[in-house]
Amino acid sequence: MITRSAAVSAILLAFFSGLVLADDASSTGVCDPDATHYNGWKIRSIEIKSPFDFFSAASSGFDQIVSGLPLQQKDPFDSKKFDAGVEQVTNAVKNRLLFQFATVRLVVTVNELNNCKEGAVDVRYVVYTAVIPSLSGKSFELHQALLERPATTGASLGSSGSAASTGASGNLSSPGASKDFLMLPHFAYDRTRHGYGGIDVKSEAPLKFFDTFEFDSSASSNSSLGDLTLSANRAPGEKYLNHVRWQLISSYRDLPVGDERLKEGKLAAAFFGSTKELTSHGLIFNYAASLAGGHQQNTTPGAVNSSYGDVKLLAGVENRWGSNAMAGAYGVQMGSTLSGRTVDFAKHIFDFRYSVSFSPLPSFSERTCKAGDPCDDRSKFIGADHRPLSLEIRATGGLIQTFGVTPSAERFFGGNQQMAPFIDGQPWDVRGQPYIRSIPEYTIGSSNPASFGLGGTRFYSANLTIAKAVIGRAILPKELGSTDFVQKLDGAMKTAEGVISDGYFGKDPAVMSVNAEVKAVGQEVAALQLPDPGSFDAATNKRIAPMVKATTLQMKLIAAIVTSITVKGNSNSTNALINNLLPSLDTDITGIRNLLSSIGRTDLATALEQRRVAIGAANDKLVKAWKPDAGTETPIQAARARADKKAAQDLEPAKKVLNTVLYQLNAYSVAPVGIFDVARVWPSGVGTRYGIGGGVRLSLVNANFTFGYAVNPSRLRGESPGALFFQLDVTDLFH
Amino acid sequence: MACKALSVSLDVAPPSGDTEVSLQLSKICNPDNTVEWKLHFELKMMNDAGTLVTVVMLDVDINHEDQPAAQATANNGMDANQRAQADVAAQTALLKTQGDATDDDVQQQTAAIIPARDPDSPA
Repeated sequence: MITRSAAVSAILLAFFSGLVLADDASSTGVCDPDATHYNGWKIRSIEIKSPFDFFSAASSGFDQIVSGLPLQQKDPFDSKKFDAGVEQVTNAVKNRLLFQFATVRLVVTVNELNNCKEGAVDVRYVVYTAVIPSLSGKSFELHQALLERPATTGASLGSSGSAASTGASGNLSSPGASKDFLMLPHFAYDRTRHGYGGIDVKSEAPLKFFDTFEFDSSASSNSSLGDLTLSANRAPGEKYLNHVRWQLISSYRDLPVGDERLKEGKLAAAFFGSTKELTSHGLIFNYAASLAGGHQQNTTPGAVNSSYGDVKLLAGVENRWGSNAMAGAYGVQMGSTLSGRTVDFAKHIFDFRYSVSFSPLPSFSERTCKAGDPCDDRSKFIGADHRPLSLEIRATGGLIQTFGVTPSAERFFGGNQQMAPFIDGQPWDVRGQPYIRSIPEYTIGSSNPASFGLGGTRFYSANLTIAKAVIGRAILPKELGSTDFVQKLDGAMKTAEGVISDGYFGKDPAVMSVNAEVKAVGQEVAALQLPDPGSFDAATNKRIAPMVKATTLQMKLIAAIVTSITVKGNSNSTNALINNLLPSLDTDITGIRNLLSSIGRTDLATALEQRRVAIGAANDKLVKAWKPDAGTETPIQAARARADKKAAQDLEPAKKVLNTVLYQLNAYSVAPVGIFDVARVWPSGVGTRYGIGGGVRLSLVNANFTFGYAVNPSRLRGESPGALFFQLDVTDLFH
Repeated sequence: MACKALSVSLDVAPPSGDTEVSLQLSKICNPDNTVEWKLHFELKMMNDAGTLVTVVMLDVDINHEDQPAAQATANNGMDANQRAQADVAAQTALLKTQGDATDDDVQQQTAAIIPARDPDSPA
């Protein structure tokens, strides 16, 4: 249970963290770039800084790393040790970052001196980390998380790839703690449930089919909710199954709905899959299926209290382009009260979301500008304050076809319940209920005519949210923009792209068709018989033995590379075969042949020469099949272009996220928020309902708040003039 | 301009999941303001039991004449030739485990990764 004091602690923690950042920014003391000038000076302090320092998973253990550096505070300054620490810090930080579910892990370290005065210096190592997850099928959720909780989302992504594959609605966890219990407290207020709080506990589960155990609960004076989930995430990386998650979830809810109560307990098994980015527009398709059974009841006199089972199917599509993101989903649920009829009702859900953030990005493009040239404006965006304007739209609709009995717990209730997942534990945010922020949770539909029972059978709702940051401070320090950091990041991403491209390249039919030439080279090399050094006199033996040894290694290496290409698909290594190994072998054979000729063994020399020529001929065929003729694109070049394109598509989502973190993300921001909602539930005896209001969205380092008030202009008797909406979540408060 | 020490570490796990490449380039500044580059290269491959195991782990000092290639690699990434040479270094390391190659051979092939850069690749 989260108390007021915990919430206040979170606010204070965030506030003081912000002060620390502010203090860092105002550091003064100009030092000569040549560190050797300060050899022998006293060391005032040694520290390791990360742009994500406020996020404990990113900076925990830095003190321990400092204690192992070559340069120690008690010693006089030594520029050589100062520089040696750069590599050591990189190694130590890298070893602390998990590399699960990730494509690329990058650590860049630079060193700097500050406050070089009065014979003493401050030593600082600045570390930037990026752990880029393998392609997530949750680009919309990530986009939203970056808008709503920029600092913590950026820091999570900077700390571990595993962070982006957990949780729903972009709630990212701390990877540094993933082997321990991770606790995420949350607290909120709503008129229906009153003040309620809870905790989300996660841990790795050492079970055969599951990776993660999660318990999420919340309670108030009149309600309780709880989920216990065992889940597993995998990244097969296939076109139509890029990411997969399966789970077993036991859920319980006991909620007030008008004057009555809804109670439900269920056990559900679910499967969720996502494709890679498909089509030229980069669409990602999501799909899911769930099978559930349990018991439901409500307290209305005469209401059905029954066993219950359902099957749910969900299909969705999402995309991100530029600063835009969209997601759309359709879900169908077939439910039964298990009382004789196979299907008692069918529920259909449509959910669409669109979000755009107006925040300038660098105009740099590789097509028009060379990295590092004056036209490369990327470094100017690092450390600049960002004040994005964001617009979020959501439209949701639902319909229930009743064939027998539709239990109240499965009907539609409108209100400001923020989470209303169509499938419990779903990795994407697809709503199954109407949303209107001016009316308390589960209110619309709770006052139906008595003859009908609780809840609606049709609904629609539309929500508009506009937020404009008026205060913001960049998450990355300006200093990072003044180093050649951006170029190093380019290099790292290009290497990653190349390695991924090699995988596609080796599977391309055009490339595999050259395997015959590669095998032919291997066979010709394998047929090479080298003379036995022991068959010569001592003087010749001494000269020929090392040559034979080197050539033997070369032959074995060629055999290994041929196997690597033809069996493992490492076709890019054909370049090494052609450019390096076969020419070296030719030189080695020529050397031995010349030696044999010089000692009069023309028989052996001739045999060797014949083999050299045969290998050369096979090599020529390979080169002809592999290397392009001038001015024309060969099938191999075309295959490389295809592989590069696929690799670029694979990394595109990661690049989008990285660019947002680098050029758009704030450590803290204050943004006034305006909202407009409209919703209707049938049959409820009332017409369309509206919500108009405003509030503030605060993102203060590791704490994120949204609070405001929405007016209910068409209120009914007994309803309040509006509703307060308030939400606080604190990321990883205890680690 | 004064030399600025720098260390860039990169790990890449391709979607196939059967390899993992680690590359670390460290720029070291000498007291006379000259520069040295050091390459740490590590390659993991999946064994028959399905576990990724390290087959190559080497630190190589980059020759003075190869420093432009090292700088180009840090800025623009490894090109196809360098990645191919990395595979050769890995295969040499595997031959060493069978007694067919020596530490020197592995060192030599790893040291050839940076200079293997295609002259036409971005500098």
